[in-house]
Amino acid sequence: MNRLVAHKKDLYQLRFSPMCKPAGEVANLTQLESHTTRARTMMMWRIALGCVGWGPREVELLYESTLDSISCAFDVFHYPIHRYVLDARADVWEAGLAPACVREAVEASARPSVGEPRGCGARAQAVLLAGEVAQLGDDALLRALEAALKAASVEAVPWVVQTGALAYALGAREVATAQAQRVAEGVRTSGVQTIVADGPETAWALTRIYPALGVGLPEGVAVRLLAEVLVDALSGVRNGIGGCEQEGAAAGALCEACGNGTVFVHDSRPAYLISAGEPGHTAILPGYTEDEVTFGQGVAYEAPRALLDALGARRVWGVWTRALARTSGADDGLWLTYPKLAAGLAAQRLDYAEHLGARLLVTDSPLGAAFLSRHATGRRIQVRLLAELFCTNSK
Amino acid sequence: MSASDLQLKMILHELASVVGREHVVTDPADLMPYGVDFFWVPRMLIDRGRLPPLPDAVVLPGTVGQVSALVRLANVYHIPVVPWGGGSGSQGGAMPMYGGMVMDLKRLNQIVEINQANGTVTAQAGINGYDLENALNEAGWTLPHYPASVHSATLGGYLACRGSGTISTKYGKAEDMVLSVQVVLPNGDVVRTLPVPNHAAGPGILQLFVGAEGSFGIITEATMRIEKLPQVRRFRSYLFPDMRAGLEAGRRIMLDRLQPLVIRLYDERSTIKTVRRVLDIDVERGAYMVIGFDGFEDVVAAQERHAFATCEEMGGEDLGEEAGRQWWEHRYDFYFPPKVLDFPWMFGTLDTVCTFDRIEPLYWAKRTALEETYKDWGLFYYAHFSHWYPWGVMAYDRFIIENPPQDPDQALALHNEVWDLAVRVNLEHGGVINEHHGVGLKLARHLRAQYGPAFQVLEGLKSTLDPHHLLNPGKMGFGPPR
Repeated sequence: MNRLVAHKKDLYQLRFSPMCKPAGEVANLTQLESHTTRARTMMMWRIALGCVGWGPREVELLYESTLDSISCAFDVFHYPIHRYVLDARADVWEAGLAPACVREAVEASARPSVGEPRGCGARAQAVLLAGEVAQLGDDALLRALEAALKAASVEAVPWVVQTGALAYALGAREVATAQAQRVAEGVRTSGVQTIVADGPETAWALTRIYPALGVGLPEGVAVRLLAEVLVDALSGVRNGIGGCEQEGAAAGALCEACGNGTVFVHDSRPAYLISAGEPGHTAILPGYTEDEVTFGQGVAYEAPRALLDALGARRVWGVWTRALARTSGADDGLWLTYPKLAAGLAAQRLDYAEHLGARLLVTDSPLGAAFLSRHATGRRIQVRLLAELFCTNSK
Repeated sequence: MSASDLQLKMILHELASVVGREHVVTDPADLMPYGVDFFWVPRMLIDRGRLPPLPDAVVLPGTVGQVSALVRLANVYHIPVVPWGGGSGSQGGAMPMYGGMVMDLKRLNQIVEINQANGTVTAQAGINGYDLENALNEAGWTLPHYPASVHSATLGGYLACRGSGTISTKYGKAEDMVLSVQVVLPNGDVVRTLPVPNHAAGPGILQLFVGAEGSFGIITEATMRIEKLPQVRRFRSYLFPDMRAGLEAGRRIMLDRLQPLVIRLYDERSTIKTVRRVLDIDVERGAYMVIGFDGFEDVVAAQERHAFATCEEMGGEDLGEEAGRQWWEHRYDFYFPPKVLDFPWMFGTLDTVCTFDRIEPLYWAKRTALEETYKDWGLFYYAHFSHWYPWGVMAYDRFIIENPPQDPDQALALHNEVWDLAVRVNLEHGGVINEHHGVGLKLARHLRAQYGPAFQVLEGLKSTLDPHHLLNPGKMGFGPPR
């Protein structure tokens, strides 16, 4: 139980800094000082130093948050605060101090998922790895993803499986490792060369968490975001896993459900972690006048936008997009552990999109779409999964 | 359960009945962050394993009515009330010296109105500065108050401490931008100052609350002057042969009323120590100045022409636009870790303001007095001049002791001695105890010396408005609760 100690030097520097306050997602909701990044780093520093132990409230504060990954985008020197939180949670989990709600969420995710990559024989080229769908257990979402791939003439067999991302976020490293090994083994056995990730969290797990856990995917296996595959198909690019027979077949006006309204793209938190670029300083200064890409670049951001542009969407954006994107509440298991906080975060995201004049919120994250939809009831704004939209428009 | 424990629980129940159970916190893990703002002393205590004074409870009101009800309750039980905004003050102004209730105002974070006809914004006091600025930017406006703490501080905090921002030279300090405030008085009454700040309807009470750090009442809403986002905003930097030449250039530019957005002149030491390190500009001598203008392009061009001519007349070497822009884009880097001053050093910003004819003697007197007196501690003094007026300039000067005593009591004693000497020099040379950080706990003991017999005016107001000294006790020289 000393992973946190390794971050003592960084925590020492951050412990009194009030500068990251607007990036503290839960703090913005509760306004409680102990939820701010400063307070949390001060708490973790004091614990790492042995001044105070992990009492029940300290543990609760550690989990009453997202990973605050956006803090590393927000503070000018990019301290990876999410790593300190992750390691602190691993310490707490190992010490058996995790709250009941956290243990229950991990236990639920550890139940064996049904089936292996169906139909993955020697002829299968790709698997649709539905890690986000696995957390939801929502067949309708899986069908939407499959339909989108079919519309794009991409052959990929679905596999609904826990990737380990949830367990990892909650500190249960052994559970996460076991789940990661199972996925890696399944991919190896199936012989597929491409994994199509159902959303950013799944891609984050495969590309960032697995190396951290020491789990390797078979050599030569490519990981691609579903949105990336769809946008390639739209533009008629041969992608090695099928290919679109009718170039630009899906292009056209947005579906009727959107009312040709204005669209806001929600980037789920893991999108930041798999993005290519971090924001420049201008992004955090008042009076910014830069383009949206100032706030982060990479396929995780560009693919959903390219797809929406091809569908004729009129997109709006604000400062809290891309690398500064705040969580929908569905990231890092918060919706399972502290649902009231998560619901508050979802409401904030919807409020913000509405404030920008959006009639439709679109995300490529099945988790985000499901959770935000749940909290959009009775609102003017609608929430749609990108793949679902693609499918509707390509009919 | 003791009688006092029972009494505490009964009071907490009453607090919760006002704001809701979830908005009253008492767990030590939640109270801890409210014991420390950006003042060196509470940070030092934590750094060395001690605890600063903590409140008995933190309450987060969501309406002005709740603020009023809480204050009335405080009067019933004689509970100290300490208003809390962003927790970024550097003077200990939000430290709960006598326990009681910290009132975190961040739930009061709504923008009431952006009035584009008047060029004003009315917002609740707990709104975060960055959030407010973003909302104004979306509408094409700005509150031209860009303090280093903008990502953390609140509107109420700006006003409570008479704060200043990077571009105050053109747009003024927080107290210059405010039209009116809504205040909850120490008896719970909710009042609004006159709708405009300039009038002949008596002395005006607006400025009694601005800078009072919650001692006379809790600011819950304010109407502020805002500005249209400028067509252009440009910066230039110059390297002067020495600080004196730079000060003279600045004085002339201000007296010529050229309205620079910013003039930031670094003394020779800062030029080498700070500018090189943070801005990565290769400077080995002289005094570095960044100067900026904003507004319509043609107006800015004319202002620049006159100002740059003055700079060159005073021997300033033009370092170009890029070096000035570099400073603008990285102006907050100085305040983020790892570049911000931090432990194990002892440090402090001794800022003061005086007329042009006094600034250089004040600078040298303070530098000499501090470095001579604390030679054994290796005290290092440096300064820049960053907030300019048509009559004078502010010195943003700092001291650093790299190896202060490790014993907290000895460290506190040395810290206070340094401040006592610095304040004495400030006052002897026509300066004031502080220019834009406020009084707080750090300077509370010096306020009587600052005002002399005039302090009875403040004392009389305090005794009348807050006879039990419940609002932010221990600050502003008013002493403990009664």
